[in-house]
Amino acid sequence: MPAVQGSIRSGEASARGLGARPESAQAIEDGWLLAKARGGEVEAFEVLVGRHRDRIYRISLRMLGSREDAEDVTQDVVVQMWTGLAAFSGSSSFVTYLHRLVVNRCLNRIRHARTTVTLPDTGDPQHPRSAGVGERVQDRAELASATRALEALSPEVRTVFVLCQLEGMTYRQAAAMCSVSEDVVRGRLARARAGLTAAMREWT
Amino acid sequence: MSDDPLLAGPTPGAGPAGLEDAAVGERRLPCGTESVDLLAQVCDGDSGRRTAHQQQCPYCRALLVDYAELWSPFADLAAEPVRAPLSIVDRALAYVREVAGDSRRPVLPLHDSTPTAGEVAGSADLTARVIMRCVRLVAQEVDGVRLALSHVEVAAPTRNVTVDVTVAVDYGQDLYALAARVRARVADTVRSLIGPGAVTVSVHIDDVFPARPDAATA
Ligand SMILES: [Zn+2]
Repeated sequence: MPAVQGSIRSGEASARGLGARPESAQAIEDGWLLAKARGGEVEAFEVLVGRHRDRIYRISLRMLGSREDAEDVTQDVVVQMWTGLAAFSGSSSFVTYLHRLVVNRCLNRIRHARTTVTLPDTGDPQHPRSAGVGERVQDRAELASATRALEALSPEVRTVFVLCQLEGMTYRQAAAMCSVSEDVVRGRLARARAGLTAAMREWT
Repeated sequence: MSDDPLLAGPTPGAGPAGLEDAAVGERRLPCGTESVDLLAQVCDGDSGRRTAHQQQCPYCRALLVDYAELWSPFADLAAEPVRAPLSIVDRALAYVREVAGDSRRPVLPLHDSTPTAGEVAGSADLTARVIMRCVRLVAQEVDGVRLALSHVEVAAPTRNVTVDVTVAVDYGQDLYALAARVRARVADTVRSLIGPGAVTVSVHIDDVFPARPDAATA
């Protein structure tokens, strides 16, 4: 099946989200910081967060479509990372663990209204936190409609799209993160792609 | 066709009904090519890499151009750099420090202000955290150091600063020389930050990492 092969190849080739450096070097460094953080060194935890904060926020933003929601989830994830340090088994890579954490927080937020703990001093409580996405997220109309089209996908299909298409994960990585088979990931990605192009055709 | 559990029933929270389903309306072009294959090619960023057939076939060429146009917002979205707002992350980290009981750091006055009651308006000080951050960054700049963490103790009245630097380094180096380089760089940095005063720097080599594959070529 040449089509399937082609998709896997390009999925791996486009591993943009994992950075230019080989993952093993990054994983080793993360592991060292993680061990220090578990030993109670907050500085090690800060460095670890610094290495991954853009990834956390970017995935949240693409999953939720709103900056404010993405900021809330980013804060939640950082706090949850700290409290969950002991629970992280180390059997999967830290990046996998982190992706799963972020995706689950986002899915929770989408499915049940607001389940997050509000941190102290998160700004003006009078500030409305749920305006329409198109009103503030993207300045450029094209990106705005792309974001809008993303929101129309079901959360599960959107998750696969964000992980595979935007974060450059392989089918295998996405499958592990979503606890489904690679075939399911492949199917969801195909549906996301078809759905998004159909939406764009409708709107343009 | 699919073992996706989602297809078994209605999806709660899904977007406009039928959007995804209607889109799966794949079709076969008159030349026999499946439209989904062309879409996959475009989404994978391979629309410019055309097969011999695609270079000849008007149907395939037209649909590739069409898909590429429809897909370009998503290609832009994927390429758009996104940075986490630092204030948001800092707030979460401040909360973590508080939970961890690590919120208070000794403060070092930068000026020789008279140690009388209260702080004079306009005085400047430096928390140990700032020194720690600088130490970490400068230690990581030393060739052969992969990661660095630091611990800083400030004896405010004497301005004596004790710095512990813990580093993980690349395999295959003279570790004594490396530690000496780190110590010298860190001591210089701390002195430049706090001015006169005794600075004691201890370097702990905590781990040795296999050399990075890209380090050899760099
Ligand atoms: Zn053709």
